[in-house]
Amino acid sequence: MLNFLQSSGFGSFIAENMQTFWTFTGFHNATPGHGIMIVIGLIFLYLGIAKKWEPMLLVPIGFGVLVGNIPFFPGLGIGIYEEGSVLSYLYFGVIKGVYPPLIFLGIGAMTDFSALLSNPKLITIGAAAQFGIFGAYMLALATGLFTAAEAGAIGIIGGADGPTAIFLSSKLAPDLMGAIAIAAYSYMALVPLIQPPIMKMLTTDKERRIKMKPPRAVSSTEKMLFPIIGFLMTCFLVPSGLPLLGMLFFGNLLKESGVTKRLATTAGGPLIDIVTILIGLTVGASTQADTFLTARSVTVFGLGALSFVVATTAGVSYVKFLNLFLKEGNKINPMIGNAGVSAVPDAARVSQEVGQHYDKTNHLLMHAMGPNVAGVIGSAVAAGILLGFLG
Amino acid sequence: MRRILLTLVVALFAAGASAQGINNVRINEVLVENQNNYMDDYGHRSSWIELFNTGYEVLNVASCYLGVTDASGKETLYTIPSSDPNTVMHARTYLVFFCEGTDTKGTFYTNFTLQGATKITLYSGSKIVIDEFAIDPAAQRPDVSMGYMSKDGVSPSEIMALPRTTPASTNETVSAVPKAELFLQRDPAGVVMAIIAMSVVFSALLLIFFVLKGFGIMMVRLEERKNAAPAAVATAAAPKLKSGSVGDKFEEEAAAIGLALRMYQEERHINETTVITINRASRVYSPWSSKIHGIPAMPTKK
Repeated sequence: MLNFLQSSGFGSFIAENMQTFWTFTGFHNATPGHGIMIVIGLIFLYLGIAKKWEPMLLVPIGFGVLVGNIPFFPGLGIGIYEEGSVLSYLYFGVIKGVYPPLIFLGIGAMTDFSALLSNPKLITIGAAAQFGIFGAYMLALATGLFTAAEAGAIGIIGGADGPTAIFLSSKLAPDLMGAIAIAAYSYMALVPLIQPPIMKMLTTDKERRIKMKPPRAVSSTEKMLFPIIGFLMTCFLVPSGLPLLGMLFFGNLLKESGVTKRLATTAGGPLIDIVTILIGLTVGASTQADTFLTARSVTVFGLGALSFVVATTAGVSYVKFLNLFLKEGNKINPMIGNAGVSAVPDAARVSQEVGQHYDKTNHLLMHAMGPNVAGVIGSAVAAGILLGFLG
Repeated sequence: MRRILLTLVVALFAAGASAQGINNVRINEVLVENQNNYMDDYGHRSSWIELFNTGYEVLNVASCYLGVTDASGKETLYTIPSSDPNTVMHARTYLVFFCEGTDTKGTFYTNFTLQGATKITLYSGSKIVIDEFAIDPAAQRPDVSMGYMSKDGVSPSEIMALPRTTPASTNETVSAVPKAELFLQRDPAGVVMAIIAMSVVFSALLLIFFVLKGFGIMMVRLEERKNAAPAAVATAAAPKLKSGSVGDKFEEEAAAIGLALRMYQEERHINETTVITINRASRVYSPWSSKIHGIPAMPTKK
């Protein structure tokens, strides 16, 4: 038998094919970079599943990181960056900015703007917190590693709004989109860790115990007219924010009009769920080790963290500044300043939890939802401005 | 009669659309003194005119006219032959006509030259001017073409001497500085961007604030007025009702119904499955979900 295998060359034929097969396996093509990225993906999955930190985002992204970092022989048409692959078709919605407006449609259909309508002065907190975006933009320029357009895309991480970050980076810096999206979503998940120390550092004990007036009841007419008025005003001022703001306010009109409940339910339910799955998985898969593990990506992460710090600082400091002009009884608790960054509703939840830590009877959640939803509008406006200037 | 009218309307629209398409053609580049530049298939160098379809629809320049006017005002016309498929211009494409002064070499050779020309005109088949291109004969230099180009890659294109001749291709060959980099040159630290952008964000949200504030005040007043009216009616009606009479019962019921309705309108009720609400239980009909349309028709026996 052995003689036959040797004489016929059958054995060497099998060995050759086995060797060829081996070159196609992930084990043969693996690099240390793939290992690092797989560990990062597993950490995301751990945080999402075990710690329950933003599981809706971290689980799809974490698994997407695993999908994107399976080493393979190039040219098989399976990678997300390979033309014609299934993953590249799914990724199309990210690179062309299709998914983020659809997510905004769903967010609009789920958001209750009552808190904002009952106390409109809170809306300006959402504007102040956007300084994080432009602070990060300046820092990115100062590093000298990025072009103006790339710096703008990095800056938007400070808006703490994943869909906006993906939308803007797909337009301004497609090469950095994976890093920016991952940074934005990661820091959004880490809001409960990043924000409280800054909030505590910037406020006094007396300020943390400020009790705000209960919000007034908002009529359904007000709620229904808000998306129309809000849309017209913001988009006339910043037309480049149209894809995001248009969908946000449209989704909200579906909810508040009262006559399109089925559409609102779909937009705020199945549609946003489908798009979240697609965006999470493909953004995760876009972090292939060879394109993702670079000095620039690491810098993007550093700048992203700083942008969150700047945004939180700006929001809290702005409330303190505003309080200088407000009468006693009308003062705002600075603990809701952090909610000016979008990260809905996590940032508002942080306000509530930190506020309760100092006064169990002080419920800040509803008050914090005002700047929180204003932050969504503010970051979309800021993205529109960056796109207008740098696009 | 109706059909004739319809045909006329369609024909009118079609003619309009076609005319609109041909208007997208422009005389894009002209080289008068061709000494060492673009050579035709015969190996000759002559003046040439480049046409560009600036639009996004396919059009045909067959039967259009190219005219050249000299210093004395005399114009010579060349009719672009019909029935040549090469005169079809796809979206954003170019056609080059050689101006040799002979029309024996084919469609793309005009019967005039550009020597001493002061103006080139492109006419439609019905002699309507589509585009004109003025030439200063004295300013023409050998192998330097005139054509449309943007000064900085951002501002609109205008006619100028081009840095290089580009027959049958785009004139924008000099890489333009991207808008973002131009902005960066003027604002290297990003401070101006931060100031402008924060001002705009604040303005947008302040605008919403003022409108919401005014709107809120208006709604509160309307609410107060609405509440005041039933209160006045109740006060007026109160003396007529005796204590312990049917009126008391009516008042209680009215108050309960009023409270329930108000809570419903303001959506203050709690959404619990056991709570009976006055929502419509029946499903609203929609052809999208109608089962009738999904049932295939019964086959009929003939």
